[in-house]
Amino acid sequence: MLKFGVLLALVAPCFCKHLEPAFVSGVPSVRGGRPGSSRLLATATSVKPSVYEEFGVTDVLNAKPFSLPPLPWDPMSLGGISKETIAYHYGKHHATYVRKLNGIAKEKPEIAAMSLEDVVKKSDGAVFNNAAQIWNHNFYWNCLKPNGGGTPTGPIAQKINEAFGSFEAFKEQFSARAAGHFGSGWVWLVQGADGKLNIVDGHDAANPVRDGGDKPVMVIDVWEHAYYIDFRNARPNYINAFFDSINWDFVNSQLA
Amino acid sequence: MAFQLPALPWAKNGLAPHISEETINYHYGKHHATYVTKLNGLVEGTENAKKDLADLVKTTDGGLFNNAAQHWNHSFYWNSLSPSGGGEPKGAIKAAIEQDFGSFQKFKDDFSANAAGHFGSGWVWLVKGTDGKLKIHQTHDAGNPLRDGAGVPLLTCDVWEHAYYVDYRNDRPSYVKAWWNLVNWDFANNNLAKA
Ligand SMILES: [Fe+2]
Ligand SMILES: [Fe+2]
Repeated sequence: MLKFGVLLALVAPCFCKHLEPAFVSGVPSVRGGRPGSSRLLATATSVKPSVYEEFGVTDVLNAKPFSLPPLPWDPMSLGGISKETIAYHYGKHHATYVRKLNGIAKEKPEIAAMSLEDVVKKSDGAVFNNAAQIWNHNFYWNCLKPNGGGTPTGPIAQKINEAFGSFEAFKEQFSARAAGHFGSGWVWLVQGADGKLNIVDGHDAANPVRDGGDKPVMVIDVWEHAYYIDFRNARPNYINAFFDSINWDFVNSQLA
Repeated sequence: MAFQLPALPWAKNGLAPHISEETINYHYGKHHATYVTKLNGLVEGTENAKKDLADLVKTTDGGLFNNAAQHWNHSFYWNSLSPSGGGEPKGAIKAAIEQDFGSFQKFKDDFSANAAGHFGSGWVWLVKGTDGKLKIHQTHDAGNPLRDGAGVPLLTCDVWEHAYYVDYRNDRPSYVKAWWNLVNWDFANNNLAKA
C-alpha cells in the first residue's frame, strides 16, 4: 500500500491538471468516487514519454473533454502480449475511440459536460459505443501488468474460492466463456450486489456499469484486435497470456 | 452427409497483394473451416444434418445459426472476390447500380462508408431488396440477408477484424479499398440474374 501512496503523492497534481475529466471519470470512478480509488493509475509514471510519441497519441493524452489515460506499464515488458499489439490496441483502437468521442462532444455540449461513466450509463448508439470502449479499455489495461498472473492472493482469492470452488475451476470457467464468446466483446468478472463474484459476457462495447448493479472486477477483451497480431485465430493462447499477466493487486482493489 | 468446406474459387495466393495468402490460410483454413466443423458437431445425429444450409440459416438460432450462417456467409464472400475482379461493374449490375444509387461512384462511396463504419463484427452486403431495388445492407456478427429478409444477396464484404488484421491491422478502409480491387462483378451479375 505504501507504494501506491507514494506514487499517488507524486502524480496526483498533474493527474488533476491534465487528465480530468476523462481520466478521473474513467477507471477510477468505477467505484463511484470511493475515496482512494484513483491511486492505481499512478503507476503510469513508469512509462517513458517517448512511448506516447512513438504510438502517436500525444494529442489525446491531454485531450478534452475526454482523454486517453497513460499506460500503467511499459508496453515492452508485457509478457505474451507484444509491444506491437499494444501499439495498435492502445495507440490506434483505444485512442481512436477517444478522438471519436471528443468529436461527438464538440457537436453535443451535453455529452462534453458529462463524466465518462455517465456517458456510458446514459447514452446509446455511437456515443455509447465510443464512451464504453474508452471505459472498457481503461479498465482492461489496469487488469494487466508485467510479471503478473499466477495464483491470486488477498481477498480476491477467497472470493474466487467462494464463488467457483477453486482458482483452477474459476480459470477454466472464465477461459471457456472468453473462448466461446461469439463476435466482438468482453468477458467480465463482476461482483454482484450480494457480494458474490460472477462471470458475465458483454457483447461489442457492453459494460456492466451500464446494466446496473454489478461491479466490474476484471475484464478480458475478446475483440479479435486484442490477439490477432500475437496469436492469430488462437484465442485460447491469448487467454493464457492474459492469465499470465493479470494484475491481481488491481483486481483486489476493485472489490467492494 | 456432413457439411463441407467448399473449395476456394481461386489459388490461395490469387488475391495477393490485396489480400495475402496468409490471410486466406487463416480466414479460410481456420475461421471458415472451424465454423464448418462446429456446424457438423451441432447437427450430427439430428434431423438438421439432412437440411439444406440455407434452411438452417433461415430457421435456426444461437450457436447453430451462428455456425451455419458463418459457413454460408464465408462461402458467399469467397465468390464475391476474384483475382480478375475489381474495376467498374459491367452488364445488368452496372445498369441496376446506376439506376438505384445514381452512379457507380456514389454506390462505392456509400458501400465503403458502411463497411468502414460497421461497429463490431459483421458483414456489408449488396442485396436486391423485396421492392426490386438494390440496397446496401449491414448485418451484425453472423447476420445474413436470407434470414432477416433484406433481400437477395448479390455481393458481400466481411468486416470482422480477422478479415483484414493480418494485412492491414486496424486500417479497415485500406482493406475495403482492396476489396474493390477484387470485387467479382460476374458473380454479382449471376446472382442478379437469378434474383
Ligand atoms: Fe480492444
Ligand atoms: Fe470472416
